[in-house]
Amino acid sequence: MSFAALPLWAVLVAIGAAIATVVALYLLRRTPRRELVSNVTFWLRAAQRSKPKFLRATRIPILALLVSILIATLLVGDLADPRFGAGLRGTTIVVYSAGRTMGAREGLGGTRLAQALGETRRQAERASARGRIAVIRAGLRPEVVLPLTEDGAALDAALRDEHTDDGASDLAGALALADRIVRASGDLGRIIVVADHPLPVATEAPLELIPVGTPRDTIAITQLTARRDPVAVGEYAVRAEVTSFTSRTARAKLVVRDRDVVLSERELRLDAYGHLVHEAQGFSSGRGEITAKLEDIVLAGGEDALAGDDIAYAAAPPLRRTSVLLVTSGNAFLQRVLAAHGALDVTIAAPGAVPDGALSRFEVVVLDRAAPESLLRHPAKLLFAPPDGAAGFAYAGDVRNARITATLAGHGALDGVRLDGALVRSGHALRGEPGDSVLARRGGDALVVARERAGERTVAVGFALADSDLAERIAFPLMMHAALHWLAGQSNTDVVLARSPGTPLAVGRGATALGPDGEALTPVAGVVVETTRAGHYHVGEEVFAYDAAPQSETLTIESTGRALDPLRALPPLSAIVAAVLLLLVLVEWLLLHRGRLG
Amino acid sequence: MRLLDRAALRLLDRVRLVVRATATSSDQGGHRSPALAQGQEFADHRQYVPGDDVRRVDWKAFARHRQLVVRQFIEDRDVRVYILVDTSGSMTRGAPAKVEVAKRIAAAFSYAGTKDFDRVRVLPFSSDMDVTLRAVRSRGEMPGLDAQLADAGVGGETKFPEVVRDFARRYPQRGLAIVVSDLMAPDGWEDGLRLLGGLGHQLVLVRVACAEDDAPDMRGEVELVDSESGQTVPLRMTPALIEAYRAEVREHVARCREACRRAGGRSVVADVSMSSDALVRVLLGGADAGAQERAR
Repeated sequence: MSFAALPLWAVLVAIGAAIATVVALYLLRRTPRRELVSNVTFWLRAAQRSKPKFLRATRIPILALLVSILIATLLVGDLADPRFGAGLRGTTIVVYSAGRTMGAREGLGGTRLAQALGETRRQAERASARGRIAVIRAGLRPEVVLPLTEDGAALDAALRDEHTDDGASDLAGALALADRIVRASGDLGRIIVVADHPLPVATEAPLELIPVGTPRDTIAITQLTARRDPVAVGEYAVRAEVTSFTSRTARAKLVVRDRDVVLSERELRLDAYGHLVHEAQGFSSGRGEITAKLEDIVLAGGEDALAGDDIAYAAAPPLRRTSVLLVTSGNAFLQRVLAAHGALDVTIAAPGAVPDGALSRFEVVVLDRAAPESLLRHPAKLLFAPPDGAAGFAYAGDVRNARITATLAGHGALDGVRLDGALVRSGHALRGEPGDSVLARRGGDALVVARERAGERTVAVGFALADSDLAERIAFPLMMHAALHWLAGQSNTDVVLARSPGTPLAVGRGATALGPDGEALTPVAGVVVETTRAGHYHVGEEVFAYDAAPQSETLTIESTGRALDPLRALPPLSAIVAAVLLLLVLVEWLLLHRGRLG
Repeated sequence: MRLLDRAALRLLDRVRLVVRATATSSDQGGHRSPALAQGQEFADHRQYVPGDDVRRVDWKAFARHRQLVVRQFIEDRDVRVYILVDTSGSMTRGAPAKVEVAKRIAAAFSYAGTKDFDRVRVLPFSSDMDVTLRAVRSRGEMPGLDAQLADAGVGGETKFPEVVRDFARRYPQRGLAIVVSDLMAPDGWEDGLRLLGGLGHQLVLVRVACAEDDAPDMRGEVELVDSESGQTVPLRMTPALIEAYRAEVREHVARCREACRRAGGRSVVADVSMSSDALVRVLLGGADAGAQERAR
């Protein structure tokens, strides 16, 4: 046992002083005053008559003195705030969680955050009576909402308009910050954590966890992604995962919107702890700002406690246009297939008419049976029937009337497109270099080779389109689409995952950053850090989705309860001492004042 | 008078002491006696016996019945009033002091007694009896008694049995014996009162009570000092002890009153807080079986 309010020596001195005072008062009380009476014989007889039954009258004052000393000792001890274990006096840091789960509704309509704030106030008021306090908000980022102070009233202003962040609280960071504050204060200290999660880290300062919340039911969107359709240029597909974190069956309607346009609606029925995936595609938009929301949630015999996990945000990858330079003496297949692609800006030039300075504005150069030295320096190039040795692709032999027998469809330049069976009437097998990928071959002859080296990407096709039936196959435009995107450094299958709330948002020079509600955000050193809310953020023409759906979790708190059992096993020692005090005062009153025993 | 105010005197002027016939003396006075002898009021006839005064023979009766009978008359005799006033140390307690009230009581009885020219003798006592105060018979002697009584000293221990024995030896003639005391001595009262009754006195016991004796209010540690003996007793006052003390006093007083009743007497309680007027009414009402107030 120790004392939190006073050092041990001060407690002992106070107890000694209290005992001395009690003894002095006892002696004063025991000093009789003279009273003249008519006859003392009646008093003597009365004293004999009222003799106590089980305690001699002479012992009662001594007993009462001992009881009074005990009362004084306990009183001083209680004022010193006794604690089981190591009590502390000095700096107290209260850390409260403001993560998304703290927004869960508890009984009577209150939220866990409201409970946590109430507990924070209570702890801070207690702590401010015997030392300095500081309050840290453990949201997405730790934040000191009340610096070290001895003024408990400042807390009200600090906690006004408090809300939860759209993400998991960074309790570890907050505790590390609290630990640093305690160390820097140069005083004894302790950390009180008010949270609905178990503590993830240990601290040097003594740590006490006050749990808030009870196990609650919720269903949540646990994933929302959007990706461009690799086949349908300009379209995108949406994939949403919904998970039930309850033992009850649940019904809800999943509504997917692109800004204000409803893309899809689906009635869901979830079993206990069930999981559903909803996929939809065919949505056309150059810039998809996708929001998925669970509406009309009905839980059998319960309610969805957390609204924050019923909505998720995603952004479809922007439809990027690729500038392509086609250098050809005339190739109708290539010209048509490139012109038909909706996301290409194609420039056609003759082999001798390409100005050197204009190359940099093209992302990909397509060379059809030509290989000017100046163009071969371009970092992304697609070569059809290159001359022997051009761009490092030497001929390994001639190929005639050969069919492609193997395709490396998993390569990014093909993206799943298979060229098997395509006939090459006339061409050359290419000799690759170590590190090259053979995309298509006939037996041991490499007909299509991809090379990625030193920031350059090259795809070389060892035959001309006119000498093959490749252009007649449905795989041709797909191959061109995949190859051009690979060469341009793009990926058709990439899914741009939403960012976690709190992730900094880089803002380029001169660009305007807007928040989820369209409010202007002010970048500091080119970065916006106030991204604690989920939603769509805009930087210039770009859209960034901030979403906490992957962090959705169960709202049960059994793990914290088990960790806290030892702390809650006994009532506070001061309460026990106060109860004993009350009992002793009653005994003392019986002994001295009520007089039944005397 | 120093001890009685005008209101008390006016009240006393309208009353007289009524004494049982058996308590009268042998001298002629104003109170009926059980003896049939010379007097004013005819009582009865009886047979003449040799030696009777022939002047008391009823000759008219002899003429009618031819028998010698003599006439008998009720004899009015004198009454001696003894007022024993406790002046021990315990009588100094109370507010006003019990002894002051006791003196007023003695003066009131004396004043009432002198109305019928009874011989009134006030006898202050503590451990012994003070017989220096003159007996009085008339109202004219009252101022002297009043002064003497007012100046009478106070102190000493109460030794009532010894006082009663001395009283019996000194004053053998029976009469109205009025004992005025606080009864705050634990022993001897029953014997003394029985002795007084046995001597043929008509007994009146007046207890002068005060709150200090009957309902003390003390708390904590005290050292009690006996006002008569000076004995000290350290005690811790508790409600239980005080209750036991009150019960002790209550029972003691009840025993004294019972002893008085057994001795043929009556007892009265006079509280020190009473006014003189109320005091006289209570005293004479109790003293008489008593005290009859008669309209003039």
